[in-house]
Amino acid sequence: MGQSIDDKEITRELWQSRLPICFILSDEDMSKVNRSELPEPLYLMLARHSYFPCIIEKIHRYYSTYFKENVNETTNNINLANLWLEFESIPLKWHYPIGVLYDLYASSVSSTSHLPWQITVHLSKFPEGEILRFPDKESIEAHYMSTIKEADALKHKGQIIGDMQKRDHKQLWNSLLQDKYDGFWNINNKLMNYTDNLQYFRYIPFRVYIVDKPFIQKLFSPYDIDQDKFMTLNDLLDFVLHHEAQCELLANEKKILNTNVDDYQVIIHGIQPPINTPIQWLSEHFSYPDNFLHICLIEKRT
Amino acid sequence: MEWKQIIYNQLRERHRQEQDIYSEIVKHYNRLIENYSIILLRCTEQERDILSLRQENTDLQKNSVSVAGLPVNDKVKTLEHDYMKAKDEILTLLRERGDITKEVISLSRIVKERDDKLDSEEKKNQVLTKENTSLKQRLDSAEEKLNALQRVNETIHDEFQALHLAYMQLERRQQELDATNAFLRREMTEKLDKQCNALDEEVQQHQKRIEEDVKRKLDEAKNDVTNSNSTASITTPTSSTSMFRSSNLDGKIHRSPASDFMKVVVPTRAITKWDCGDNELHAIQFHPSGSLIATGGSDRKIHIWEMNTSNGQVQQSYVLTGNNSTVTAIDFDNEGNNLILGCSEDFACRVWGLADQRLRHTLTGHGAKVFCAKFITASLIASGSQDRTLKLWDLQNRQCVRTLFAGSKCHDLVAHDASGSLISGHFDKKIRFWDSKNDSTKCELQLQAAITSLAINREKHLLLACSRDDTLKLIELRENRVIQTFSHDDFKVTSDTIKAVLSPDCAYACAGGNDGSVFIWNTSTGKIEKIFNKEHSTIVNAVAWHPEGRFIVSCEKQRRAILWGE
Repeated sequence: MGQSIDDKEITRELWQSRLPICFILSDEDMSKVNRSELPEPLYLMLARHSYFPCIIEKIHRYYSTYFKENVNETTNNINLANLWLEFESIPLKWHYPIGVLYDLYASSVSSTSHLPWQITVHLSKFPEGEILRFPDKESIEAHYMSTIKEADALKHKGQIIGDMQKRDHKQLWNSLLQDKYDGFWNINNKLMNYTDNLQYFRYIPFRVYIVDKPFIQKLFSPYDIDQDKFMTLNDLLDFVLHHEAQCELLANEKKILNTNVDDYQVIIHGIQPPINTPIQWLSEHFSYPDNFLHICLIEKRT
Repeated sequence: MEWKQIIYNQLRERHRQEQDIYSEIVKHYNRLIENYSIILLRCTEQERDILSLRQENTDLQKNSVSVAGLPVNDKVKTLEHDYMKAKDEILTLLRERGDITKEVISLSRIVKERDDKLDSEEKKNQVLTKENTSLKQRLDSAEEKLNALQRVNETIHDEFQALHLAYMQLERRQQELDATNAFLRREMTEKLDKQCNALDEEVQQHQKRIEEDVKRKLDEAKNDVTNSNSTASITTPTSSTSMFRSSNLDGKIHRSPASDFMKVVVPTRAITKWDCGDNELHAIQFHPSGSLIATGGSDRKIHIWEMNTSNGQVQQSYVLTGNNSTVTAIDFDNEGNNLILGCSEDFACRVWGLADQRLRHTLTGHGAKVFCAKFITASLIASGSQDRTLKLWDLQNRQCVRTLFAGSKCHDLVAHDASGSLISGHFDKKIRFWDSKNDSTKCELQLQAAITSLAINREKHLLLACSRDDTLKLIELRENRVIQTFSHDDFKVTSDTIKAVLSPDCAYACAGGNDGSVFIWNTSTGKIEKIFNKEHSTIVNAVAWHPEGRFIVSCEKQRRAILWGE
């Protein structure tokens, strides 16, 4: 345990993270298989920072062999557009990174019995009201790029992403798809620069996820000018929870948020970082590839 | 940096838990699944193969069951035998079929060839028929043309015959006409000769009459002379014999024997000077009787002056008008009709009567200024003009009867005889002698410079020509040669119309010069006789000698006329 832990080691560690996921076909779809053999569960190791739509082709190809003869029958409603994923009866949203979904829904402090993460694949009965239809690769790419631009807008008023050429944007996304660490961080380093003669970002791009709530995003500066000190994770969460509770009060919500930070488990990338970690460092080295800090807050059950 | 360390440791822990344990298993699992699916595929294929083989097998078994009656070997033999036969038949049939198809091919080829031949023959046939029709057409048209040409030929032949006849006739007529023409010519020449002879006789008679007249006057004068003093410095003896034609070929001038009363005297002094007219004077002339002087100039009028022969006084008599421009020359008729002829620069000549001072005739027709005009007879006038022609006018008809084309401006002319022969002096240094019978020059005499005036003597055998090379030349008319040349250092001819005159007996020649001097030469010696150079101030345009010989009158450009006498 030497003192000089290189930031690069941490980011490389993050890049190499994988989650074991098991895709199981739903029961009702299982019954519609017209082969003598039933499909086996599909096991994949997926990167935490990737998105489900990237591997949806694989899933579809795997299961379509069992339904091949049924292509012309439309009563079964088996087709790609109807594919959706579900965990413990929660339909999974496409545009969250896989790691965020896992941290939010499946992890708890010390439970390893959750792995491999069992996700149910449905090929019919698409829940129209709850999630959007599965997008294609171009849509997920567009979503990724827009998230990056939003992050850069918060950090540097959009200057750096605006100066970058289109092939750099393409390189970011392609490196993400093809799992190329160097290709990705070559460009991403530029996004971590400082502008306007500041030693920090203008605002920190982050989202706070709490179960059964839409994500919370606020303006938060990493440096307090009055007190002349860098803000920590604790300060951020404090600010966010209090601010959100006030908003709820004003909106006359029935149930108000718990604003005590200690009542929550703070999970980023599947680990609980110390509360006094400087937020600037976290934003630079601990963000997801879309430059956002996705923070999951799980209420501790006492 | 505690927090960094904590984070790092947590990450490593996570890695171990989430990844290490499961990655290998998942990998192996996926591989097994792949192999499994491959095996499944192969299995299904093999099952299919088995099924099909079983099917075949059952089929074969069925077949073998149906031929179960016979012992298997014999059956097989007979089957083989049948089979061979069938094969042979098939072979032969196939061979026959091949032969037949070959035949069919060759036959079809032959048919095609025949067809082609037929086509070509037909085409040739068509072409030939077309040619045939076209040739027939050409033949027809050629025949037609031939007929037409034959007809035309006949008509032309007929016409030729007719024309030939007409031609013969015309030839004959022409011969006749030629004969009559020659005859008529001969008659005409005879008549003309007769006319000439008649004229000659007339002239002779006229001269006779004159001589008689002169004789008479001489007699009278004789009487006068014996009564008065005779003071004459030089008197030329005049003989009283009348010899008209004094032909002397040795070059001596024979003095013309005029009447006694003619005394040609070289004047010694200016008797009278007077101004006449308003402008320049160009012409001056004595009346044949000697009592009148006519002057004409650029005031367009002809002034008539009376002269008293005894004392030489001059006074104005009357003025003749009618000219539209400067008067260039004046002539009096010498047959007693009292006519005066004036020609002017307005391209016309005019004739007045002296008795009634009335303009009798105006003769127009020249194309330019008329420089000279002379009476040939009382009814025939000759005029010469700047338009390089000479015209002969008949006063009875008041018409121009002849126009002579000289080719050069005519400055002066004299009448050679009464029949209309003229002598004219021209700008191109030539003196032309004109024939009265035809319009061409009888002969031409070339001098050294342009001729400004001509004067002829009474007997018409001496011609005085004044020319621009400052000389006067005396020409003998029988042989047309220059016998004397008169010149002087101060005598300069600077105008185209300077007039020189001979004395009435040809003893002297007089002319005026550029500086106002009047020169008189002796014609026999050729030397200067007298010079008057004090009286005139400008160029002396014209001089005239009194018909009796005692006076000379000269006019200068500046209106002054001077009468010289003794």
